[in-house]
Amino acid sequence: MIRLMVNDREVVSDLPPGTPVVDLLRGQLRMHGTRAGCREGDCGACSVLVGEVREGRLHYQLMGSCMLPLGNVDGRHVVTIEGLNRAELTPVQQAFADMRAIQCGFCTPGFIVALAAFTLQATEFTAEQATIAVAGNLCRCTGYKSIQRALDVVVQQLEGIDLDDRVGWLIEHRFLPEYFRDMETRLAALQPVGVCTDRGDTIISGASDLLVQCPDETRAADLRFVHHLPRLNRVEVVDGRCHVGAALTFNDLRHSPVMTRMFPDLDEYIQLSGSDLVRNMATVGGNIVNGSPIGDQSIFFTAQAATLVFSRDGQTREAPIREFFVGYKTTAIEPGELLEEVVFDVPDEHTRYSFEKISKRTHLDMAVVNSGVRARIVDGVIESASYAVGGLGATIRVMEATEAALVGKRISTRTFQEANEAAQGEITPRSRPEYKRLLVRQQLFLHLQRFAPDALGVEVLR
Amino acid sequence: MKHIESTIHARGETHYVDDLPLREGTLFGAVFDSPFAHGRITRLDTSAAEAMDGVVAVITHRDIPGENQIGSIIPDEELFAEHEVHYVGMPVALVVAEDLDTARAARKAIVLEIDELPPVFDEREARAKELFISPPRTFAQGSVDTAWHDCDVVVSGTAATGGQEHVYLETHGAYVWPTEDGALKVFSSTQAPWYVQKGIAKVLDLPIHKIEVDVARIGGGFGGKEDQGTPWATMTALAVQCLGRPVKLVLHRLEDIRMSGKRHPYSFDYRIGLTRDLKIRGWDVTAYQNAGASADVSPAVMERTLFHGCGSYFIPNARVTVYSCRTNLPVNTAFRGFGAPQAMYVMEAAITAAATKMGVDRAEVQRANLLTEGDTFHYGQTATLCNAGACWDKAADVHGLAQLRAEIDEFNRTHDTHKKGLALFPLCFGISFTKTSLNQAGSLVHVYSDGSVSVTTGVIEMGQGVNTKMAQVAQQTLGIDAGRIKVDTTNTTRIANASPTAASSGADLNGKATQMACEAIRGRLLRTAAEELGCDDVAAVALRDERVFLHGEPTDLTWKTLVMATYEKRRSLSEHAWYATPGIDFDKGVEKGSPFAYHSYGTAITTVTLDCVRGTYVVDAVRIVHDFGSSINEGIDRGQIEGALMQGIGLMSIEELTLYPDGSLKTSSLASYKIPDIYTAPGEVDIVPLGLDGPPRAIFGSKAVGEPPLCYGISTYFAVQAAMKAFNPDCTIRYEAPMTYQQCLLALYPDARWG
Repeated sequence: MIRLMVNDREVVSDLPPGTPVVDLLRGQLRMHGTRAGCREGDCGACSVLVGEVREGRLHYQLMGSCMLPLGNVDGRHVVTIEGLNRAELTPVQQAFADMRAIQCGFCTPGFIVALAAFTLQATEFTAEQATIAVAGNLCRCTGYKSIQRALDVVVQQLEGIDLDDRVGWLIEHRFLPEYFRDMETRLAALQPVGVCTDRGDTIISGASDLLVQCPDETRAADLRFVHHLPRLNRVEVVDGRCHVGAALTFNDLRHSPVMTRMFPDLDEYIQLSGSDLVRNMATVGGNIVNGSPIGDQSIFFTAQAATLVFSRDGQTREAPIREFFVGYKTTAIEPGELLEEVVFDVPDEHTRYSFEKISKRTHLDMAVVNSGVRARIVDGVIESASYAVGGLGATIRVMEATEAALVGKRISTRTFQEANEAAQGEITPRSRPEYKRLLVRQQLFLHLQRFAPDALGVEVLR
Repeated sequence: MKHIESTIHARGETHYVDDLPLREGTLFGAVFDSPFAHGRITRLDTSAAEAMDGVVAVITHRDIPGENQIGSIIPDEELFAEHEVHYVGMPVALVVAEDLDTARAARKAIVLEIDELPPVFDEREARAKELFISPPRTFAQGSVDTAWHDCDVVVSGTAATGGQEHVYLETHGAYVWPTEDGALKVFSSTQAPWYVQKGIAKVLDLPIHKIEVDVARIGGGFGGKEDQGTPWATMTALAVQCLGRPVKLVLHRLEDIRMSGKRHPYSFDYRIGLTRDLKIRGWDVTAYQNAGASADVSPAVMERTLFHGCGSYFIPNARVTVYSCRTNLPVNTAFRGFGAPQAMYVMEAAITAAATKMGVDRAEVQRANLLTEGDTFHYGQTATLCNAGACWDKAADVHGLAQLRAEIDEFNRTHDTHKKGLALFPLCFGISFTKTSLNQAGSLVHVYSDGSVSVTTGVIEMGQGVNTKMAQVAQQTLGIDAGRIKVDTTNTTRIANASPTAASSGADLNGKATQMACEAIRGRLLRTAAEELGCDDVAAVALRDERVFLHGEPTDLTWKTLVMATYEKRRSLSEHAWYATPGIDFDKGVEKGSPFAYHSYGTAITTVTLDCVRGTYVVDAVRIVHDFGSSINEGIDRGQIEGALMQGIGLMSIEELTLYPDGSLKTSSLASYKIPDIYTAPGEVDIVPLGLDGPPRAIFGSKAVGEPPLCYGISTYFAVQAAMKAFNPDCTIRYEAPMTYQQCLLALYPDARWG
């Protein structure tokens, strides 16, 4: 059983905790404004807000209700399009109508909900940030130009928003209905039923992959929900090592001051992974234990040469991520183990990280080839390098020969050529080999050029 | 006028099929489809599935009382596979259960065994094996075989375009319940309620009048629900007939992509000949259309390929041949553009190849051959009110073509990892169903005693704003406030035998019918008004702004009073009107005629920036001059242009369908089949109206705008190619759309070698 707030009312559901929230909304609650457009987090038509009280404040995030298990909203506030409606259109809805950003209407509620998340969460009210907010919403009718015009209007209308009393301001300016005013109190008083967090055959974190890949099995399974365990949600630096909790979401990483201090380009890189409604759900640990050969965060942590920390029955075990991926979606995790955290050396001032990803569509897509390099470069000479490439076969590949070819070298045309030769020698892409080999070369070029912009010119590629 | 449904859409209160309130006793269906591409069925055992808890029935071909046949143009498509399966995804059975999860799960217990037959997926292979949907057809004019002697340059080659998945956000679905005496009420996500009605009648062996199909609107169609709404509604209706309970069937996205047809992939062989003055003297193209396993509307798509085989150009000696090839793929179907974008693409490819060989800018060749007033199309129609040149010249002028080119040259001179490219595209698109008989439509208008008005037509609202246009036609013809008008659901008991909403013709045909209906009612109202005002001359009274005017002066007689007065005089406040486009014809015997009411014109200038290291690109801007005529609703029409353009860009760039060797789709979900997202939208879309009046056969002179602008996307391909050549003049040039990032990068580095 799960207890939650849906819009302005308390709901108790006895559906299995692995049921996607969209089925509760459209089924038992008959709220058809939330639409199941694809059931895999790729269209955004089922977007909802998930709210909770964090550090004494109401905090809302956009999520895809098709891959959001009920167990992850126990004690939380789920807001659908119906829960955003007021007697008159809200300024967001009005902007969509006025700018003719609505054609067939099927995707529209998803956009409106995504922008509600924007009004509730954003700290910068720009068209660029509003675009990021709706980047996970597909529209097949408008071609997006009218939607962009609507975003401009929304951003304008948010001018002067009072960030100290955001919810109050949004209610006063008709962005939110009245009932949000006492939601913080009501939510604090709501007693979650409590889902199982310490045992179960299947571990659920963000669920953004499990509920897409095997929804029926997941719903039927004996589930262990770890998404909200505090110890899995930390980013901490201890003795020069950074500890990242396995349940941190991609967006948690993106917004973590600790992480962005160490990796100034991280925000840009993580924006190439999914959209907000995926990034608010998908977790570091899920990405790693999934064992996908193209996991973007797996690439990141493999390039950091991170250590994985597992727990089972009160015991912990450590293992290097570089040896973790053993076959297609197969890893060296042992039965019953939970990935607790990922630990890596804090980069010093000489250490850089570069990430590249090519996919069929630049955003909201899985990689054809993705790669990351962490290198320590002192006085122009590469002292150490850790290089991971995805998309070349069953697992993420650790590019040991290439690393060896780079170490001790100054970045130059010759270094690039030798490193590329080493790289080509140690990869055997299974599908589309020509393209993938070329991508490996191009990405290697881009990594080295990012480290030493003046040392490499595009002529070396000709 | 704003889109009249935008308020309920914005509030999420719209009812699509899956949102209708459930009726008591509703059962849920799930389609069991073939996992095999081709084979003879040796065993179909549904007993284990039927025995499962919650399963009510498994419906197969054995349950069909009528014909197991849903082909609309050619009867070659079974509702449920009976003897053979023809593609992965072909429906074999419908599991009906008390809940959807049970229905879906029970499919796993169905046993289907086959003797494999060799599958064919490629249209050229099908051509070689003479596997055709219908006989090949050729449209021609002049003397192509002798034209080459007069040419200074002759280029021949091949080209190809890929398929395209519709990705209407609302998947296919139907909800059917039994009414009295064996009749059925059907809610279907379809562009063609009449086709649904006919399909059900044939399969269930019912007269058409027993089937009421009702469509409030659909969540996107784009052609994908023209013929292909029918199978899902029909199998649902069959289950209702068998079980006597309401049944709902809504496809999961994965099922929809797997089972339903897409835009036709095409391959081409072409030959083009020009004289030194850049005039195209000869054009010979053979197209191989990949139709999939059954005809569906492929013969009609083929026809439009034939009609648009010369693009926007006048070519005195031209021959266009199309083979519709039968393959073991899902049944390809209508998709916005309907065979025309493919034809235009090969034309543009050939011009590009010829211009390259001649060492001239392709735009010079394009401009030199544009259709002009009085030219004869290769199918015999004369180009009248021809705006091809006017659009081109205005585009070059208002969008500063020379300046754009200079900026691009400067950018390319000063950047080495990024290059820009530019391409123009001239549009000429024939408006009307090419099957002349479909160019008819009905409208039923009621004025109620309180002065409110209901309009029903045969057209389906699918986002294109056609209901809004219908309301505008009624509003303007009756001279009343928009608030009085409700556009009702499209319903087969109110409008019979309605053509599908397709061929960009919905607003013209149904708008004209609505105008006629409103004019008839207005005539009766004005007669009343003249009598009430004691005026002998009905021509002296007029209706506008909710009031009767006499000799141009407002009177005290308001709309509401006039309506009641007309009722009191026992005059009908309702009208059913029928419109058929005048003056169109086509003789298939000689393949000549004037099939189109008019043509839509325009010119697009597309600029792109190519990342020459990553092989990715963005569309910077698409600058258009479009021939709206006198748009009845420019806001809606601009939305149609922007949306169609984006689909055209998708078709030419990132949208790629790929197969596994067994004939199943690799790109089987929205995770693997990528449609444009907000970041894929061009940085700028600047649409300037041509500003000339529209033709009389367009509703209020407002030209059809649904399909034509999709073709503007074609210039994306050639703009990217221009940028590629700026980076590497020796890059590989192929004419195989889409220009995926993979094709792009590999072409940029043809000489890359690996140790």
